[in-house]
Amino acid sequence: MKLRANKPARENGSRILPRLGQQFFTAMDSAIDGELDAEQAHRLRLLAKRFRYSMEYFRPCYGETMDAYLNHIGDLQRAMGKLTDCSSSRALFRELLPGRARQRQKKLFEALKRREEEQLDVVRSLWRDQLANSLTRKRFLRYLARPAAPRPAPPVAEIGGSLRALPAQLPHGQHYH
Amino acid sequence: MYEQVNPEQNLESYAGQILETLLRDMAFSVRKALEKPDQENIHDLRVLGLRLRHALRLFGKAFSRKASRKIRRRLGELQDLLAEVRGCDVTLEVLRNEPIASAVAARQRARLENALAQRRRRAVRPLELRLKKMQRSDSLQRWRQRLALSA
Repeated sequence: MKLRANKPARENGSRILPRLGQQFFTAMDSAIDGELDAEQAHRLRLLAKRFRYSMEYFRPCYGETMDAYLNHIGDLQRAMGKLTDCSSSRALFRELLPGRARQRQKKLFEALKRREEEQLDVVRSLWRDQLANSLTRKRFLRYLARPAAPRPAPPVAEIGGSLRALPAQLPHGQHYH
Repeated sequence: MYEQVNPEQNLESYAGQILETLLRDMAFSVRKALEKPDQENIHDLRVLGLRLRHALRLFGKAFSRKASRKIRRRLGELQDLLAEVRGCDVTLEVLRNEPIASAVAARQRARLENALAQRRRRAVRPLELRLKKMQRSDSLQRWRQRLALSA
């Protein structure tokens, strides 16, 4: 899907976001009820993250009403993050614990596996509660296709991006996700 | 995060401002990570790198393709270094929290924590070198120029 550089951002947002949303929903639908392995979970998490970042880039075109939707995707992304944290930790522990030591730490690996399964249930229930419903999803996609009415923009601040001329503090919130 | 941009402007200048914002935040985050490469600062820098890379991919058409590709490649290299450190932080956190913490004997947990801390220290070294190089050569400023963002 190509964006149009000479068209307003609002119009571009309404073109691209519903497509990205649909892509994300389709990928989740086909994976969520099956045996979700670490690799798949990682891919879905990336997809969720990219969808959320894209929504955030266009948030000024939609306004505060977008936040509820952003929160849904954010919750899901965080839950998937915890799931992939367990599987990446398991891989790192395998590296750190050679053969016999690994066998002695059977409990650790079992606990990690259980935690992954619990986290997978969290992801599934979040999906079912928030985004699996076709009406909710339609509303979501319709919302993305029709950004809110324009509002007057505040004056653009002078921006300096040099590493040698840094702002005194983090300009937008304290942490990133 | 990107509240200062005007939705009515064309995509080219809109995307330019988004990238300006990300590059500015990243400059700040690079400095913070160099001052104190702790879990929080490394995470912030990593997320900013991901956001910037994704913005370049999404808005690629609005900028020079060659410049955008080159910056994405550089960011990819930085992300790999950050991921090494972040991987240790995540694993340490998993190990310290229930129910995983109680699945490992205290002595073994301490050993694993030490091994992870050592691995992290080793991963931080090349990252610091890269960040210092970025600062020395004023990379982010050069990226802005390459993307022809209004300075």
